[in-house]
Amino acid sequence: MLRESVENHEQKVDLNVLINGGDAGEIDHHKALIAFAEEIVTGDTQSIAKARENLIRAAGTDVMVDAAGVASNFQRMVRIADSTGIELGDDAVIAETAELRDSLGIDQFKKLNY
Amino acid sequence: MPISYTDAGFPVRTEFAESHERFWQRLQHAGNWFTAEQRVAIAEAVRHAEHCVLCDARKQALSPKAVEGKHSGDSTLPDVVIEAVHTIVRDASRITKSWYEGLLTKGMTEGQYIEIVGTVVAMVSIDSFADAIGVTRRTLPEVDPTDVAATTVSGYLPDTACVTNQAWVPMVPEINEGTPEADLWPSGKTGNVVRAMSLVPDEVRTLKELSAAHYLPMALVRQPGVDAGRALHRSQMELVAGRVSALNACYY
Repeated sequence: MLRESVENHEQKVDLNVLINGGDAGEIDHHKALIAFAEEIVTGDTQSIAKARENLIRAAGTDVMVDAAGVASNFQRMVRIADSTGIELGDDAVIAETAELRDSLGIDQFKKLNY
Repeated sequence: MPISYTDAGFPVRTEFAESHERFWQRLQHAGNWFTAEQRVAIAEAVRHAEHCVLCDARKQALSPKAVEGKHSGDSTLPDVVIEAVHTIVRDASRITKSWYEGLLTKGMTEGQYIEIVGTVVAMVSIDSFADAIGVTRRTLPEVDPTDVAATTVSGYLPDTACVTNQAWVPMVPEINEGTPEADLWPSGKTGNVVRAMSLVPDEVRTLKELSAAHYLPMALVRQPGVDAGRALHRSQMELVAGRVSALNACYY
């Protein structure tokens, strides 16, 4: 959805930022948001606290709270996908996303049916 | 006392506390396959998993199968349930179909598995949110063991649920019109990640409710410009969502 969202906002973002971290220049507060998201995944409360304070300084508490909501939401969604072995969708969905998955190397995460 | 985040020291949208409180209330009732006492024990096991020595060792191993032992944390739950809970919390990206089928071979039912998945993932998101905003995790709810609603499991299975090539687990078909599961998504218009837990329909209802508070209502997710009035605009939301998913090595 990042690709569709940046297109909708007429922004340019290298989607590799999702895989490698780094720079999403045209998105406001991108560095502080990425750092906060990364620390939430580690679960290290001290590192989270530092990233949280940086984000609050950069963007305020409302942004931090909503970023915490989104990050914790996707801590859930990934586990649903991983634990149920769902496919991306039907052939049309797979074809539609093939180029993007290939360019980002997302297929490396695909589960094998064994 | 209902869940609140007034201790955060800054405003926290009330939808968070309200949706978390409703999940706590769900834990206080029996589900389709587990009593309230068991559901709260599953929630406790989610917290134990984060400090589990066996899970630490498996995370370090090339293959989790290479490390045997007992998971940390006292629990009244059977070992097979604890194995499922800890693995989904700590090493979900390396879950395989054969691991899932192994749980079934050990006596777990498909319905029990989905109810475990639903409880685990709700707990992960609620606790992760507390950690992220810097408050202590909320105390788990107490269960009244004399309450019939806490002890009587329904055993409900949707008639239409079946296994297809779209998942390891049985799911309600995308076309759900005219069934008791019609409220789960608009017929014919949803993704597999929403259908994934539909064998236990209340898990999808909880997912929708928590997602609406944490991220966006399901009806808005496929509308790329919509941010539902959040403090984050949509590109910022998707940047956070995508980075978290990639770090969790999620293919979906």
